[in-house]
Parts: sequence; structure tokens; C-alpha cells
Amino acid sequence: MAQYQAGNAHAFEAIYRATVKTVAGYVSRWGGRATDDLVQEVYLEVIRARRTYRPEMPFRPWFFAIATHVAMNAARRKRRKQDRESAIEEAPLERIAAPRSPDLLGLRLAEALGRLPKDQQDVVWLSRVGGLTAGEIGPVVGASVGAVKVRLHRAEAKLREWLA
Amino acid sequence: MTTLPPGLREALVRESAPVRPQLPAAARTAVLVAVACAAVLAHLTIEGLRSNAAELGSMPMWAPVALRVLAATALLVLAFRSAIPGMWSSRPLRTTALIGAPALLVLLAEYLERASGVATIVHGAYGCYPRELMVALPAGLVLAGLLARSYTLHPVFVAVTGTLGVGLLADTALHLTCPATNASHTVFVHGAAVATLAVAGAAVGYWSGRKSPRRL
Repeated sequence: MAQYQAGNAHAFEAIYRATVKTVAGYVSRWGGRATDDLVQEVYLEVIRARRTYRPEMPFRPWFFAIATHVAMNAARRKRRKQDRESAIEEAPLERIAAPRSPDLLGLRLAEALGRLPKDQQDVVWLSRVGGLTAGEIGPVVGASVGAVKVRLHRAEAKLREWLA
Repeated sequence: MTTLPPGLREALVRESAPVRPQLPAAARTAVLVAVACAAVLAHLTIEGLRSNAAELGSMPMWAPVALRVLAATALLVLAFRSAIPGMWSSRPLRTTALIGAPALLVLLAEYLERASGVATIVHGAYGCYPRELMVALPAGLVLAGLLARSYTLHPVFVAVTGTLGVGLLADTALHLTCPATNASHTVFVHGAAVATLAVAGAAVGYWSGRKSPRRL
């Protein structure tokens, strides 16, 4: 990222190649037919926000905070559009629908994830799909490391119970 | 999918000029505190030290100044850190900041009244309100400028925390110059200026979040 800030466009391409599959899996949580557009929007925002990254900071929390924000905003815009158009009941299911990368999660797991409280969903997605550690997840979701670990533990206990 | 899509490639070509990373939160706080202190000194030069400074004594005069500056610095560091993606602080810390700032003002007001022994009431003292806002203006503008260059994912919290910090620094000026020692004046007139700044910050943060969800 520091190299991209210094003007090396190839460095950004390297970031893209290294992260795009993870980002695609991660933003698929918020679903929608336009997941590829959403992935592109994430990277566009990374480009716009590049001044805010400092080399001494860990990269992943910074990156996933932007990805989360972009995806949540897109989901909110979509929900508002659906509310305005009085969408049929089939639409809400898309919010917790299976991810576009079925090799990542089965439909049953995705449904179980959708039943978790939102704060537990956040940490599970960031941990298991984004690959972030508890220390990296904390500053993304606004929780201490201990709170993140507790949420993860509770979420995994529930998932094990539901999927048993 | 590992090659850049055309739209992204165009954006990369447009935005490939080198950029300097923004200053760390501590550096931006230092800049803002320096501007605020200059405004406080200017106000002190114009208005003069409060007439009952000698009667109050050193501790009631200067301890509140130190506490306000320390608290304001902490709030500004928190605001600038929170303005960076991936640096979102925990809920207990955020709650402490938002409740602690007004609580500190009330506690300091009570302390000053008790320390003075006799509550000095100044008639027609509502002029303190616009004066405190004027003292806060330079730092407020610098705060807005610094945050406008950020990529803020939580604009309301950042704006409120930042303006509370600016407000506390401006409140220092009025503590140094206003001779009133009754707690009700300090809380409801000086404190009202701080509250006005926080509300204005919240409004600007909310509006900027609606217009552009990521920037203040």
C-alpha cells in the first residue's frame, strides 16, 4: 500500500490480485446480483482513501473497514430501493442468501450465519472469510480484542449447535 | 477475476499520482491544540485575566485549565484516530468520551464554586456565550478542514468528539477571563457554548454522512 501511495500503480494491482477473492467472498454476505460491481466499488474506495493509510498501520483492518462500509452502504441503498418499489417477499432472502462463492460456505451454513446477532455475524465473516485476527477485527467493528473473542466463541458455539 | 476490470483500471490511471499519507492523529491534534491555544491567548490579551484570580488561588485557577486541555487533547486524538478506517475505538471508550466531556465541565464548575467560597454572580453575563463561540471558531475551522481531508466512516461521532475537544479548549479562555464563579453560570452559559459546538458538529457530521457516506 505504501508503494501505491508513492505512485507505483503495479503495487495496487498486486493488492488487487492478492485480495480480490477474499473480498468477493466477504462482500457476498450482503448479497445481490451486483457482487462484481460491489467488489469494484470497494477497490475504487480504496483508491480514494489511499491518503488515509499510514505505513505503520496494519493493512487488513484498514482495508476491511472500507470494504465493510461500502458493502453496508450498498445494502442500505438496495433496501431503500426495495422499500420504495414495495418489493416482493423474495427479496429479503437475498440479504442472507448464499454467497456467490459456494466453495466458501454451504447454503445451510449461510442460513445459520444469518440467524446470528449482527455483532456475531460481523466477527465471524471478518475472521473466517476475511482472515483477520481478533486484534485486527476489533478496530474494524469497534470492540476490544476480548469482546471480539467472546463474540466469536459464542457464534461458533451456536453454529455448531445449529449445524449438528 | 485477477485482472483489473476496465472501470478500475481507468480509476487507477487517473489516481496514480504519488500522495503523502495524512499526518498521524497526534500530529493533527498538536496543530489544532496550537491554533486553539493561540485563540485562548488572544482572548486573554483582549479581556485580561479574571478580576478574582488572586482570591481564587493557584489551584482553582490553573488545575481546571490543565484538566480541560488534557481532556480536549484526548478527545481530539480520539476523533482523529476514529476518522481513520480500521481505527474504530471500543464502545466503552466512545461512551466515556461523550459522557466524560460534559461531566468534566459540570465537575469543574462545582469545584470552582466551592473553591471560591462565595459564588460571584456577574450580571448580564450572557455575553460569555458568543465570546466562547468566537474563541472556538479558529480551531473549529481547522478541525473541519482537517476532517474534510479524511475518509471518515463514522462522521457523526468524529465530528461530535472533535467539536467537544475544541469546545473544551475554548472554555479554557472563558475560565481565565470570566469572573463568575457560580456553577449555574459556568454550566448553563459557558457549557451552552460547548453544547452548541457539539450539536453543530453532529449536524455537520450527519449531513456529510448522508451526502457522501464516507467523508466529513
